[in-house]
Amino acid sequence: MSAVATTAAAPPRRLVKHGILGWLVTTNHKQIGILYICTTLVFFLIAGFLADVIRLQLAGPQQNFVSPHTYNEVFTLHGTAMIFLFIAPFGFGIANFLIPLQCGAADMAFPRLNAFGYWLFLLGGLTVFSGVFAAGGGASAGWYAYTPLSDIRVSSGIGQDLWFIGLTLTSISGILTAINFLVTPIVFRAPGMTMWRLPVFTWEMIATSLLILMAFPPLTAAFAMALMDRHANAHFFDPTRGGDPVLYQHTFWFFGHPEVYVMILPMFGVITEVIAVFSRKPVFGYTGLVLSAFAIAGLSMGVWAHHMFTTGAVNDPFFSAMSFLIAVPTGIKFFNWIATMWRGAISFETPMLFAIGFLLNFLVGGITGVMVASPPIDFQANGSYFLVSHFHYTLGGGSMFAIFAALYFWFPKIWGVKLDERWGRFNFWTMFVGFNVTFAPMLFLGMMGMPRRVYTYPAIPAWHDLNLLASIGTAIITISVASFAWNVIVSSRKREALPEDPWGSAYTLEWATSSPPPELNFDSLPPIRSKRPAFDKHHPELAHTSPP
Amino acid sequence: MSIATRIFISSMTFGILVAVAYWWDTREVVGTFLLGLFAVGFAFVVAFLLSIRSKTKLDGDEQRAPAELAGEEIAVVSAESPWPVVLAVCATCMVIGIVLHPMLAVFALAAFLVVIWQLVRESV
Repeated sequence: MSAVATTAAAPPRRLVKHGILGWLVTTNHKQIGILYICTTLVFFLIAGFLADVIRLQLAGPQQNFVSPHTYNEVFTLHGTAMIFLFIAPFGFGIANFLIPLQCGAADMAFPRLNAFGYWLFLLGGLTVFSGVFAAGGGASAGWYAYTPLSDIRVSSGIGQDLWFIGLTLTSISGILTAINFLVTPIVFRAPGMTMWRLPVFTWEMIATSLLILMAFPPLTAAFAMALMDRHANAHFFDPTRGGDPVLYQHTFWFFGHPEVYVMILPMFGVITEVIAVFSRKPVFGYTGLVLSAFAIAGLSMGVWAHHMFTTGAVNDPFFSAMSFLIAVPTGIKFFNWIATMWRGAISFETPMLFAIGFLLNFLVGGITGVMVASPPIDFQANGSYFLVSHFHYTLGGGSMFAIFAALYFWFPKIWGVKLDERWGRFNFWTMFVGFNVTFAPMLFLGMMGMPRRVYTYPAIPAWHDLNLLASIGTAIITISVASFAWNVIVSSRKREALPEDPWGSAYTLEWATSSPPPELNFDSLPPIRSKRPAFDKHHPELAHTSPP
Repeated sequence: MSIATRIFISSMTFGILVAVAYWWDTREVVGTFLLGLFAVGFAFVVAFLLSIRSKTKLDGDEQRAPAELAGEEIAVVSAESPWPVVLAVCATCMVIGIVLHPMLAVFALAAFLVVIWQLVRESV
């Protein structure tokens, strides 16, 4: 295993193909990363369109903008696309691009496996959506497809089968990808890049990969059992034949809660890097940030049944206590981010704005999360719009803001184009205002008792006003996303040669190579003497300030 | 002991602790088994890492990169391969076929095996 990544061996054999064929046969981690990012952004646009449909339907009481069945399909596919096809795999895309660069390696440990993982993910996503065109329409049992809603008697169409099949494929894809994310930083590090010099983002991906390896197989098993119930006359979840529908909930949430951290841990890594760069300080509490990622990953494996308090079939104190405990390592991260900013020379470029937006929104998601971790509150809030708001603040306000921070931050490195700052600020402020106008009213709607997943609602004035406000917020978010697309177009037209570090104070190893990087990542590796090799390279006079 | 080994030992220990705590509190078999299974899985990884410890030396573990290694060109790269995308198509058809049409699954399985063979040939 020694010196695999950096051995000056025989010249590499490459048959470089261009055009569509080149993308089809590529095993290069950077291209696969770009494929992931672009694919997930397309799924994001689709999921966002579906969110607009939901909010149009709910903008006023007793509306019939879409039919009840279509509405069920829409919110099912919205949740599915956001969770399985956008947020988590976007992290895979960024990680695919960054991990070898941050480690000083030429590629992933298993490039073909990496490519296979991407194609399986894409085909899985297309399979999920293909159900829309099947007889009976797409899946409509919600993004977690509880039985009996998803069994053959209630959801008899092929759409539900294709949903299970598609997500089984994406689940397998995730497992294969996680193997690469785990092995590459452990084995394929450049000389000098010790484990304790790895960037926090890479550490977060190591923790995420462990979570994926633990949590995704039960999901595959749950879906396999559900398919066997539907087609092989099995009765795993059929209580009339000795099965147990709560078993499905157990196996699903055994995956489902860790999945929340599969989505958010990479984003914690993004936020750590962005805050340190734009505070112009080394990361505060590096070791604490790394260990808290593992603490979160470990604890998240023991909290699955807090999603099932209302079944009355789980041990509430155990799962409540474990859920409360997660707030401790998460708090450590928060305080470390604030301490990193403390007395820093902070500048508010667009990535930093999105990072601060992340802190504010994720705080609301976290605090409401602690609230619903308490069974007495959960019994009231579960199934209401309070919960919808909570998880959107966590995953939308958390992950989505971090995703935009990542896009603005690494866009120059990935595509060699620095996005326009004015449009970036417009993008941020409209996103921040739109997001809070959409989801803050839902907290109050939930406390007023409005149930989630309802097709329509009675003409109660307070409900109407808050729903209308939420729908206006969604329109603002749509404008914000459109402004990002416009920014990409405008900025791409003004393409100019960028330095290795266009931000001036970036420090991780990917900033010590050209923007975008050459085919083999580095023309030559810089000496790695500290946690900030790129900063040491560009500012040798300040190298003594870098943590060893 | 390498940091990777310590990571897996910590994860294994955590798995054992949570499984024991869960059993002590709930007496529930399935959850305890699943939590314990993770500890066993990590134990295998730990055992493997410990068994190869004496034979393994990673460049990345050098605290100070030797001067002759800094600036060295990276030369090991992957070539393009058409088989990952073909394998993914076969796998998708196979799973769809199992549920929707057995013949599709049979043909896809045959193609899947051929592609696996091609991948193995390409890799060695």
